[in-house]
Amino acid sequence: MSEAGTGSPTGPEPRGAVRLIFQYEGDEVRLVSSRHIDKVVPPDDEAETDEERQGFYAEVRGADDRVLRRRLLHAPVRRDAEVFTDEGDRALSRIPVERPSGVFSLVVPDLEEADYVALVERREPDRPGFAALPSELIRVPLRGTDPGDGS
Amino acid sequence: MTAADGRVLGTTKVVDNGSAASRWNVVVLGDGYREAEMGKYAADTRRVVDVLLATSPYDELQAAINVHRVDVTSTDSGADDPASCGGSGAVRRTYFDATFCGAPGVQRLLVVDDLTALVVADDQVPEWDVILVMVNSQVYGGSGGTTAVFSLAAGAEEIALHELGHSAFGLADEYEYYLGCGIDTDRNQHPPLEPGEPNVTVNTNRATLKWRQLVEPATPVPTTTNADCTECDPQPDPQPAGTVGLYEGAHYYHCRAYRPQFDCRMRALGYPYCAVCQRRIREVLTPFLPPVPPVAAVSWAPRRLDLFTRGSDRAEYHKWFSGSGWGPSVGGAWERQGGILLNPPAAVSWGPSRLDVFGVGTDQALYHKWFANGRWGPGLTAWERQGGTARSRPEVVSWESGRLDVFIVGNDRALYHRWFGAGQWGPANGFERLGGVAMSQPHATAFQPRRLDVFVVGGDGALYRKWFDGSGWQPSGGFERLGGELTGEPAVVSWGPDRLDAFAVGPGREVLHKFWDGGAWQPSVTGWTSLGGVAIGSPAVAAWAADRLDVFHVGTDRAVYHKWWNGTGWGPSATGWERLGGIAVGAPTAVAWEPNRLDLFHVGRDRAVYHKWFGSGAWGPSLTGWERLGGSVEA
Repeated sequence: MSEAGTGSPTGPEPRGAVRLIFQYEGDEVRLVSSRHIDKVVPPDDEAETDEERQGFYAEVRGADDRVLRRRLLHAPVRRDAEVFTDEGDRALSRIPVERPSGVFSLVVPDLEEADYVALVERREPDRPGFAALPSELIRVPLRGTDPGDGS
Repeated sequence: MTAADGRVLGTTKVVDNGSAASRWNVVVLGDGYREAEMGKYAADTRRVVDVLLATSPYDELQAAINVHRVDVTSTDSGADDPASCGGSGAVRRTYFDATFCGAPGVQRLLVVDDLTALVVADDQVPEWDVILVMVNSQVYGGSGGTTAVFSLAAGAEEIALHELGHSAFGLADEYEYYLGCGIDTDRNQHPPLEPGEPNVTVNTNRATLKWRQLVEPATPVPTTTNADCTECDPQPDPQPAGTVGLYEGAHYYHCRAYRPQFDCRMRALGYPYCAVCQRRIREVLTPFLPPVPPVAAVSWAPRRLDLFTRGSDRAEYHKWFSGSGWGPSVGGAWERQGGILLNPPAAVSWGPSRLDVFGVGTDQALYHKWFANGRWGPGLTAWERQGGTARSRPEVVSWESGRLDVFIVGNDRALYHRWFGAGQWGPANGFERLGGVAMSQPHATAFQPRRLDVFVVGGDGALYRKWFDGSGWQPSGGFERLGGELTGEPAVVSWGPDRLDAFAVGPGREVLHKFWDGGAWQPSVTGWTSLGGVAIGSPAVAAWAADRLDVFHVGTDRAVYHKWWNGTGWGPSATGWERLGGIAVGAPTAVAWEPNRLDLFHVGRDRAVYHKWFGSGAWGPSLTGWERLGGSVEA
């Protein structure tokens, strides 16, 4: 049994991490701040979490667009809200949000080879049998901005 | 009803398992607490933290978790509770602007100003991982997203546990409806695309199922099917409680989406996390656990390796490679060698078919066992007591056949020495006290007969050395200070007579190097050269020949990294490192049985030992792959 199958893709060594804070209105996402932090980052998601799966992903990419690190996110842009009840079944449910807006944060490894972070949503294709439709919500350069610099 | 309605007093680390840079940091923010209620806020925080840390699997991962309580005052007590949602109509001025009725008609939806919460957390604990906002109200409510918001009503902390599943671990909702059972009209069948989340699937193939390793062969797949896809499936769980299988109805759809267990905290509050969710949480949090000490590895001849470690029952365990394969077997089996050890063992070989292993017992005494003439002495599971009072792991080296030198750090933090030579132990009355104030384990090397060099990190974080030159210990009455502001344990090696190379991790987590060239320390007595890298824990080093060094460390992503000195320069570059993969929770161990051969070991997330090797010019089993050797290594 090899542990490599559950590890990260081959890539450069992180030099700490970068925290990015975003604000969104509808599907429009903007960067509020970026900051270098000295921190262990959670492990990447499995290699099998590939382009054929639905969901939101934070992808650290090189200048050649190669994905260096990928991490699954649970709906950072929330188009609905979760509702809780304290009644007997303690059930959960969702209600759509009319005008989605909010903030979220990402922590990505600071890699020497990294050029930018892309927040990607892969949604159901329009036609069955086709690959997931990727939608890049925002791209944040990791080089050439001062730590703490908003944009 | 903004940040003007209160102030941030400061932060208290209420659960402290180490530096914020290395641990998973939970930040608790209180809203609707007046300054006079800070004592209540502290008590409420304690209660919620106790619930969190008693919840599986956080209970077994506590060592990975820090909790920071940020004390924030509000002008008023409580939260807004609009009458339009059936609430009391209360309007409260609070720092994070907590309000029920976060959506029209939904009183239970308790929300705060997430941006303010995030800015405060970022300012107080820049390394934060998750934010819990606890609202000082007895009305039941909460919400998720960037922050997990919950009130003080009974059971409301369950909301936080569910929302942590989303925000920290990327878990999906497992419930099989959206607005509610009997309400939805468009939730019959899940779209065919596989969700990315680890705890829901559209795949019914047992062989490729995401959580196939957790499904027993006798469990049918699918485990349940919904007979009417226009409704939620009303059938009870047909399997024993807790069975992992493939239950139809998940991810907001009645059919064609599956969850791993009938019940789970990600399906309804009040249940434990299902096994698949727990596995995911462990995967994410394991890198934040304190590092596990390295495995002891020795080689007495080419194609021979012996590994020693401390198992989860604190006994010593042994595994060996004899040229044709691993003994007792390649997988999980290790030879149990008894003892109850306070810390991992140390081992050395003075020649072919000879091994000496040392450990510290529960009475802090040093214990010894040996392999000679094909059998273990004093017995396979027995140990010979050597005495002393050790607060450190032992360190052992051998300069020639029949010679052993063992070092420990005593309770007074001084270095102590004991030796075996000419067939007997010395000194006769126990241990030789070498003094000093050691904050690290001892690290020793013997580059020629009648020569010893011992290194420890002192109270000032610098490296110190003491050496035996054949006639006595130098420098007389003290230690040589070699500088540095070191974190973790150093690693030392010698590739030839009168040559020493020392490696350690500096304050910026870079790997540092210095060497003794026979006449002087380079770059200077107290100077170090940075080799780059961002290391967790301690480096490891091996030298397979003169003027050859291979250095390893674990990076912040828990992969193992490598660089090498080939006699003319560092590879892959002066500060670059080769990524060797793996997910290590402890420092690596490296050993070389002949030129151009390396064997490397680390302890993985499952506490098993993993192995890779360099031979014939390439890494096996692959550049980033590792061979699992099993075991259950105790921290």
